[in-house]
Amino acid sequence: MLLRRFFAVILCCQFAVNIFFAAPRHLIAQDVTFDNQVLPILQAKCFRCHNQQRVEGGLQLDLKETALKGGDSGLAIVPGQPAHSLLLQRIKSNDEFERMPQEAARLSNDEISVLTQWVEQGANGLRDVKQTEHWAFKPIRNPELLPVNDRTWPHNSVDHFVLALLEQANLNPAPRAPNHQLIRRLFFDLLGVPPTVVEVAEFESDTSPDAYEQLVERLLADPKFGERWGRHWLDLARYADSGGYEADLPRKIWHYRDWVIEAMNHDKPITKFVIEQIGGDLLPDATVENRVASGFHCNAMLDGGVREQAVLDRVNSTGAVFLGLTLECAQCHDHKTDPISQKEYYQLYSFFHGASAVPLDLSPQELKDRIAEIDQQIASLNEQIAKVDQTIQDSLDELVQSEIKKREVVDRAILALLEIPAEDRSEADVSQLVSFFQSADQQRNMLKLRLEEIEKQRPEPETTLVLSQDNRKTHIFVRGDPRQLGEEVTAGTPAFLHSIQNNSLSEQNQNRETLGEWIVARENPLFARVMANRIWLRLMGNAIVESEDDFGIQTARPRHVLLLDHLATLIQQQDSFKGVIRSIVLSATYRQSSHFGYRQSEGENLFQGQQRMRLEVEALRDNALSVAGLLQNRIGGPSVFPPQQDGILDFRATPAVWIESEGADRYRRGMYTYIWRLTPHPMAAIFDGPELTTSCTRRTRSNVALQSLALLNDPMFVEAAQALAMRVLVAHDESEKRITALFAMSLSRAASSQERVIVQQLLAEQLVFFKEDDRAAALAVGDYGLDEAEYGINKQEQAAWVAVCRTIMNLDEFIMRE
Amino acid sequence: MRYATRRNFLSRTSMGLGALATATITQDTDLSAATRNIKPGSVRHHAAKAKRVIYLHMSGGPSHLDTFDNKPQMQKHHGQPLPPSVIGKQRLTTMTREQAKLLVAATQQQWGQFGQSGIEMNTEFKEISTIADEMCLIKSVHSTPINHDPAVTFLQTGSPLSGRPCLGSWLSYGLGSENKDLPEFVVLLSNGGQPVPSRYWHNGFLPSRHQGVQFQSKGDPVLYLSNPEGIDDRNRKNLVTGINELNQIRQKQVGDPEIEARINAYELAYRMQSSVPELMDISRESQETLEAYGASPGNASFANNCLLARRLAEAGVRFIQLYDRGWDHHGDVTSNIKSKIGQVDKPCAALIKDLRQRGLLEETLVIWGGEFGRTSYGQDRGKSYGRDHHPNCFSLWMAGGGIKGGVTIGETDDFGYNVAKDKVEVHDLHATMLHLLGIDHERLTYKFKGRDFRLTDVAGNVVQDALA
Repeated sequence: MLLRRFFAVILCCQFAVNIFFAAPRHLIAQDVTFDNQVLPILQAKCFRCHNQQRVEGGLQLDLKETALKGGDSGLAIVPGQPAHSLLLQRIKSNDEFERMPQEAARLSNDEISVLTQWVEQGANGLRDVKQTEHWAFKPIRNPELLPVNDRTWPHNSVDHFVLALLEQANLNPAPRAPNHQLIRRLFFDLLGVPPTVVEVAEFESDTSPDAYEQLVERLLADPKFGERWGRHWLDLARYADSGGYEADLPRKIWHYRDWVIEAMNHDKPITKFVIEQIGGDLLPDATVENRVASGFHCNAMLDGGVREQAVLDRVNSTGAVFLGLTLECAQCHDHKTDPISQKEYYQLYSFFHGASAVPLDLSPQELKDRIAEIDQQIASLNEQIAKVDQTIQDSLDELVQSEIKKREVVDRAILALLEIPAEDRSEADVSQLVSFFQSADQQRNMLKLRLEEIEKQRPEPETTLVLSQDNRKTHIFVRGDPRQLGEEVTAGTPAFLHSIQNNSLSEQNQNRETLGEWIVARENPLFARVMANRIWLRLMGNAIVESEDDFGIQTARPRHVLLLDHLATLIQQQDSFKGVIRSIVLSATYRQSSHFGYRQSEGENLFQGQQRMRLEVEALRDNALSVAGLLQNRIGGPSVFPPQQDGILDFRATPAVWIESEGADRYRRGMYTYIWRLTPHPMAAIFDGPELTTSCTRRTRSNVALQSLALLNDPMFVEAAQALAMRVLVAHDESEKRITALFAMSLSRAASSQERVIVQQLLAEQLVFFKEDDRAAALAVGDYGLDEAEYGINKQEQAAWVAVCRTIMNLDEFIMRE
Repeated sequence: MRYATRRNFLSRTSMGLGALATATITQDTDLSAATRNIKPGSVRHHAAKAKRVIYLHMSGGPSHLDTFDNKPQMQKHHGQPLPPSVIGKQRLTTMTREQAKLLVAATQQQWGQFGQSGIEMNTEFKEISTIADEMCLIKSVHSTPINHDPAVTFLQTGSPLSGRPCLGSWLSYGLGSENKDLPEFVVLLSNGGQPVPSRYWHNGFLPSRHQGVQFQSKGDPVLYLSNPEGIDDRNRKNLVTGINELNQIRQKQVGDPEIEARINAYELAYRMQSSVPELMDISRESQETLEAYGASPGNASFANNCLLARRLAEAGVRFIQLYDRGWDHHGDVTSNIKSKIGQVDKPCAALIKDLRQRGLLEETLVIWGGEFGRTSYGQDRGKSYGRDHHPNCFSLWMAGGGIKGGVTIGETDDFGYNVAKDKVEVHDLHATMLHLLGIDHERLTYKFKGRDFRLTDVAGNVVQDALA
């Protein structure tokens, strides 16, 4: 029963516990250090119950004196004597009532070894630990470069940190990836599209020593960079074109999306980038762009009645995106592990409480003029109608009399009305009579018709959602229930972090804008670390801190904490996304091969070798369309509707539209596809598109049969294969040359002889199929078919090449960033 | 030489379904997969009564007061305010919170007792009443969320907040597959009403291979299942062979196990392109069977879905989830419920009888119910009243798969507003379901973010009275 209660406490809070990483095996043989190895385990697994506030079993482990004193059951730590140390017995116990910790996952064998060795070696370094003492909460200090033995390998500072740890573990970095793979990697990572054949050839033949550096600079300056990294940011912003919940009503906020692309392309300083998104509308003399930026938090789901949920989401997203804190754990009670009280949670809530998402009119002048003109016509028509109505009102008696005389009315109800003497008419009678004469009035009917027509012509203004602030009092929600208001609180930030008040404003006058400044302040230990980790994750496939959305006390100090702090320092010094991205992609670490043969299992967290990553759903599409020569380069604008299967929008409560885009809009980049939160495009659902209800800090990468079906049969992919086939056919008139071209276009490399044999064979077999069936050949070629006479290539051959192109576009390599 | 190799490969992919099927429906690379602490598909804590589940979810929340929970005492209070002592602290929706008076609305349905067990239900259940002795009716199910989405999410995942794995995903994870050509977790939808988003068959933190796959009884049975124009079976096979041959070369070069997984995924995709349409084609069922269900080929009806559920059960699909929409009767509950009963009555009963006749009922657990019940007070919408959402108590029945037939469990109070006896929580239903499938609900866990998660969270007791 007791155990039940224990579990109830921990399990009530579903976000409480975090990934823990074992100490590196190779370090165990050496002296175990308290701060780097033991403390993280104690913090993650022991301190929660055995601290100054909560002395479970009489044991308090966070002070040296009490830790050595032990608890009710005896001595927990006996230096030099593992067998007599209860702490070690309890963590190893197989009795579930004995085994510690009771409220967290069992310790791994590596963790147990670390603690045992530490005790054996004399429990050195044991000291008093404050509740807020945690690696991620310590100020970011620019770490000295780590010394390395191999001085030739490092390209820049990043490599010193990576190589030093690899050398320590007796591991070698993976060799440099071949050039054709590197240029592909850079294109996908920086732009989200593949390089062209010419770009690959130029890079491969460029012998200048800084060819790679020059390529990086060119890509960083390419406007597609803003789209690629803007889309990453939109995951965090939970960007969508509808409001979510059951109703999932459409909303206009694509101007915010375009603002993000623009900001990335202009390398807006990270600090400004964040401040404007948190409180751009409150900046002194806020520009239209500043206000559009505040759309970041307008992306919270909203469903009329439950406004609080949107505000809660704004607080929680702020925690996950900018601070790496699970603030939501303090929504109902004080945070169980991190030093955030429930009161502090609602102090943060207070910043967002008065903020509402309102549309900002961004219509170009022409559109505004047109709307004004139409509004004027509408007003004038309404005026004329009102005049007619007034006349009817004024001459009601006369109208009644003449109507009676005319004897044309047959409707019994109206007849009865007409016969009521004027003085006996009730209000309802009058209004019924009036509407009868209104509907009978020819002139009025004409006016109404015109009004209807003109209203139909009125274009919708171009708007985007921005935040607008009013003042509201904030109370704590007792047990997180918005209907139970507790103590009133004012805006404030958690006490364990730096003070918000290093600006001229008084405590009462802090607002979202100053909250933004507080987030990006150099004193903030979390912001730059969280940003650095996320950028690293995008470029290296693995994060330095695996729980990229939680840097709280439960998250152990990462092995590469110095690398993280180095990158965080770069962020603080350069204040530039492009700057830190440049530092990473120029490193030798980044340029390593992703070949598995170079990687020892130990190397996972040490960044030995690059990762192979399946392209995200947007890049998957962009890649296929790009290779086919179909991709449109236009940046920004309203979201578009590329083809999707029937029935996707069927099971909704409110209707949604999907009018397939025509012409160029059919071939826009994946990031412009309209996003209905409830019913996203099926490709997004199948290829791990972002979670759309809250901030998505990391996408999963699955590999399932539905994906194979989608790549084989999605109409856009089939169309891309048709277009690619014709490009290949037109380029050369001999199949070996065509195969060479196809591999160069789609995989940026030459085909091996083995691959050539397979492709030739496939081609031959496909030709046999299509020779048997002319009609099938024509269908397989689709709208892209070449004129047989003009090009001298018959439909059968064209169809066979479409099949070959489909094959290549379904290869693992085609959808991988290697 | 090469040609021969290709042929070998072909025969391996087309005939050796079992041989290559170390891959189940899907593979994935979720980081969390490395931390799992049970071997997927290996769970057998005790002898299982049931091998699979067919869950007939009546989306919107059928009124228990007009289907299975007759409250004759309400008749004399009809039109009078519902006593505040009955309402207690129950949360009301925004739809009726503002309503001036909450007046008792007695049922206007005809009731009868059926079978040897005498289970009471609306006489509109002309067919379901004939299987009364197969049913275990629970009148005292209790839930908490008051709106559809969190209520369905709770029933599906054990938590009202989305993000955790659904029932079918847990079973796919725990019990694995019985048919390598089909997914373990299949979803079928019918009729209009509340939205049924794909989150309702999401794998949550479990590996993505445990995700449900939506089958459609109209159009493409699975998204992207149809070949592009001009491509037939032979051609497709040829293509997939080429893809996998080239992928194998790459796999040898770079050594990434993901490529092996992708090769398997393409093989399964290929097999599904034949197995699924065949399975979804009900036109070869006998006229008698079609009539019993009220099914007609080509329709996207609940009746068709029930027949498909039987076919999927036969094929060994582990969890078959049906959603029938249109049970959200805020207005005119009296006639609306009759028309909904009319739609589902025959197919539900036919499904039970068909399973029994084929010897599948003993090993198939069938569940019928909504996400909550409805209020004892009327919701004011003109002359004919409707009922609002009511999670405090509602009715649900189960049959087959180790369930004791002809049993009624639990009671509600005189107004059908609160549970009066033998409350059954949603977690208890989950525990019972897992128990029947041979799983101890406290031991089916998955480690995620450092914590062992369970379907039943920290609660759940097996409803012993429901067991045969």
